[in-house]
Amino acid sequence: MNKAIGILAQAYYLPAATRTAAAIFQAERIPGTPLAAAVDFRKDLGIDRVHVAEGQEPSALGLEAARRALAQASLDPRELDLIVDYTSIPEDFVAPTWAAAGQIQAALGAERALAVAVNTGGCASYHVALKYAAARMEDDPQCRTALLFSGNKAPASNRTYYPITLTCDSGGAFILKRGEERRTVRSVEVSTLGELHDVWWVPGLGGRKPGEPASERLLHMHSDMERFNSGVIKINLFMFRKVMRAALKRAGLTMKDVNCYIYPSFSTWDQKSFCTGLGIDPAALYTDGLRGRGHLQENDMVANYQDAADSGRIKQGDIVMVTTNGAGFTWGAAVVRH
Amino acid sequence: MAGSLGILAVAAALPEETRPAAELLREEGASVSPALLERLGVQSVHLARGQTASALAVEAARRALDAAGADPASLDLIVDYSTLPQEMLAPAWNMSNKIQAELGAKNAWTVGFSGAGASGLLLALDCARAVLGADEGSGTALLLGADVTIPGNRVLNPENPVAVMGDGASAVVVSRAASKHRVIGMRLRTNGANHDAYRIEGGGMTNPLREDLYRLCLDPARAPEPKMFQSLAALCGDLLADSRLRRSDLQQVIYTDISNEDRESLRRIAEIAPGGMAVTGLVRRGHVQASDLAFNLQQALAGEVESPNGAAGGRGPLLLCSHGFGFTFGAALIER
Repeated sequence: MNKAIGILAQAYYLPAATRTAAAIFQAERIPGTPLAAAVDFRKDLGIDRVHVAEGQEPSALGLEAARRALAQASLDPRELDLIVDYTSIPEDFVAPTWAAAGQIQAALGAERALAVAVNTGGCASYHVALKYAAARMEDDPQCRTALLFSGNKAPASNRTYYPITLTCDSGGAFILKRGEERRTVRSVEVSTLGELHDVWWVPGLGGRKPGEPASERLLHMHSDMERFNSGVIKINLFMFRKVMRAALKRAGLTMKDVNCYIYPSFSTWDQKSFCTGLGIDPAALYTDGLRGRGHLQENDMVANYQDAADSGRIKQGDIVMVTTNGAGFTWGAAVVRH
Repeated sequence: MAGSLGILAVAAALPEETRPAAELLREEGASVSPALLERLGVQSVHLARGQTASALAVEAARRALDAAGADPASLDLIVDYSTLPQEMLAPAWNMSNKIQAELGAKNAWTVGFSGAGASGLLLALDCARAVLGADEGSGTALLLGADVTIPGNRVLNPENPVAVMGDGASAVVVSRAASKHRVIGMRLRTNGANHDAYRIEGGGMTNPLREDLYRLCLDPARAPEPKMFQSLAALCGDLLADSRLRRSDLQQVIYTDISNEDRESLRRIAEIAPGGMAVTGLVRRGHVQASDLAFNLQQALAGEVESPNGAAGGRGPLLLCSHGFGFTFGAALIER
């Protein structure tokens, strides 16, 4: 980044109600047979419970997180120049015709802001939105402050992404400010492998088979596990290494300079694989969010970063690597000097 | 505006089959009259039969890349500005990734935008300008939009028709290195109060089972209405002021193809002289969402549309603008 852009504030919102993983596995009929010799999905996932939004739309979760981030920053919404919605699963109304960005703009009274929504990246939509917003702030001198937010709510009976993770409803938001000296975004890297576009998908009413009636199952996340294993898994660590090294190179740093890794809360075995495969000290990876809330889609980045900072795991001046993968297929890495 | 870019090529892909607008209006229950047909200004639209939006997009993208002389592997960025539901549901799935694979654009990354409606191309241009300006690489991006209407939903608001919607795709290749057709100014703004003026109510998380609401609607209370055109006229005025230009300096105004009535409303409120807006493809294509601007830009750059004073092929800047049905307003100045 040529101009200093920092994360002024970040916040997340989890609905009060929770459900245990065991209850969800039973309700969603998740198999109890071991995935592999060393992995039992239900026992070894590492998630005890997740939060569940009752009577709230996805946009309401994003709005609550946005309000918390603004309060933390003591920022008047009328000072916002840009709002970017980076929600990655089905929203209140059908996309790409609609997105929650304008609704949040209106609800906050952020009259001056340009409200847009990115709809690519899956869980790496955090990085897609960050890369876009940072570039726009560099490009336009009038664009000084940006709010990025996301609101995710799982459709009924679709909390388990078997055999990957268990999802939690959440809102996440962070505020970027030009000239902010704390949590400066040093670089953002995004890489997509389009041939893997059909590994994870949501059909929607537009993707149903001829004569198929409307059902909530059409909003469920679908997956092709054979393609996941033969396509994504085969290249996953290579792509993580690629985006992280590229982001570090842009920032003039190397892997040795990274003090803390902020990474999605998928499962214990995924976190272990990430560390083992890339030679990362497990102590450098923040994993505390997994057990009590599960996977927050792209909001894992916001929640894990904020919790790691609040708990003292990240100290002023530390180099933080925020990285994830997501549907599309997309890999993202951002280097932040805390 | 620190970064800048130019347009290397614009291309379209339209399905071969066409149908008269009057037939489609009757099928969807509209009361057809000569006055209605005159107000809408559409004679026929293109229909994709079994052809997906992404297939149309790939066709348009290949044409644009050929015209630009650009290798897909040289692309740094692909931006999707489609408006209507795709083969699978966004934001969990986006066709830009499928297109990346089909083109072999192995060095590009993809971004799509939701919610900008007919102003999507302007948002994509703005994104490309900012991102290409900030990144290394060749500085070349492919912008694309492809829209296939929901079956039985070609008429926007059949009870009082606003537009007849056709199918089609467009693609624009832009580059920092382009020496002509430079984007010399741009303005965008959104009015969040109108975020849901143009929407599909059924099939999302609010109404997942309401198949009857799975159709594109425009809230007649909010759009089209005079304030929408006033806002766009003001935005265009601000953009011209940024660039120290007067309206009379413009060679052409390139606008969205919603209807004759819509076009005339903007012309009247923006005080553009009669005949002062480029005559475009509305008659034979209808409204193809954000691709309207790309189609009309393609014709303008090729000198195929009439200029305000009736003399095509002048050298003044083009003004592209769209009101996005009251939510996303955009305008761009492009050198010819």
